[in-house]
Amino acid sequence: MKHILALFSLLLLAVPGLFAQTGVLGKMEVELAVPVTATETELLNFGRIVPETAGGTVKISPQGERTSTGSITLMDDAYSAGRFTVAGMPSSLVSIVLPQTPQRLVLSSGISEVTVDEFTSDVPVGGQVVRQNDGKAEISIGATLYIANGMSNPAGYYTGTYEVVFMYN
Amino acid sequence: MKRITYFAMAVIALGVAALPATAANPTASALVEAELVQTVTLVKTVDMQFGKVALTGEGVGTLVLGVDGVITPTNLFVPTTGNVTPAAAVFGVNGLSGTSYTVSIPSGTVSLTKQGGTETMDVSAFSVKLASKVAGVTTGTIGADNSFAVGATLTIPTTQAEGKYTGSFPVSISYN
Repeated sequence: MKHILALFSLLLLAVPGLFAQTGVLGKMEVELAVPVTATETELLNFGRIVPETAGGTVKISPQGERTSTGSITLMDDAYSAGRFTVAGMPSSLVSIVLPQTPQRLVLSSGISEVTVDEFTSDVPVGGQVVRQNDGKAEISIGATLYIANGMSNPAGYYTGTYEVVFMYN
Repeated sequence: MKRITYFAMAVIALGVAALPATAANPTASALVEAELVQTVTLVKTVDMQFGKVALTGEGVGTLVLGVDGVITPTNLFVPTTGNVTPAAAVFGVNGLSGTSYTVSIPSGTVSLTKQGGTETMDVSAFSVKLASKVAGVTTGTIGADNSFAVGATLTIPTTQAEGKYTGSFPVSISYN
């Protein structure tokens, strides 16, 4: 009998402590789209130039047209707008950020430099549309080269780099 | 001593005898029904949806999904067209009004797995908001808090493969 008594009181203590639990699973979902990537397919190339006595400017439009001011003579040689192939989400819009300050092109010997400024592109306001079929788009970039006379800028091969940022719009 | 012992045993015997009598009574059946009403149910009503994002290339992406369904992206682009509306997960709690309950959400990391792949991404920092409480309070009352929302933070490494990722996370409630 004493044994039963002990059991009974244990049960009474346990009842107020009874505690229930219920659970479910929540689902989660995210879609990670392709980031914008870009490949340079054409160098921004001002071509072969003779600055003559006063120098001047050489402008290349995003469409690849080359014009000059000052005493510059443009040689009949290869020149091109900068060209990039962009890959991204099909039908998305890609915009670019161009250099806002003059960029330097340095003579191979390092003793002279010219500057390139006023970068422009053929990206429409609102962004370049990435094609639906292959997820790509082409973007062209032009700029203006500032060159002094032949004394200040001796003959040679001038090179430099410029940074373009591609992003979804 | 002997007398006291006998007295106690008599009380016990009475109690034991009373129990089967109650169970056999129709009133006892009504009591059982009342207990069924008190059962608390938890259902998922809205899935957690982070939407569609793309890495900007500026670093590790994080996407904070608030309990209000508002996303805060870092190093991520969120397309405005062709996207789905982000949503915090929502769960419904039903039962006897006035029943107190406590929500448990994951305290660590839960993985999302790429559909048709093996790549994973981590979801962490789960947060909860009961209907009538401020965010972060995990104990509520049925009647005032018949639903609660769950948010979380998605971390996207810079080299993460694109695709659709899905996963699930456990949510439970305990109640008296």
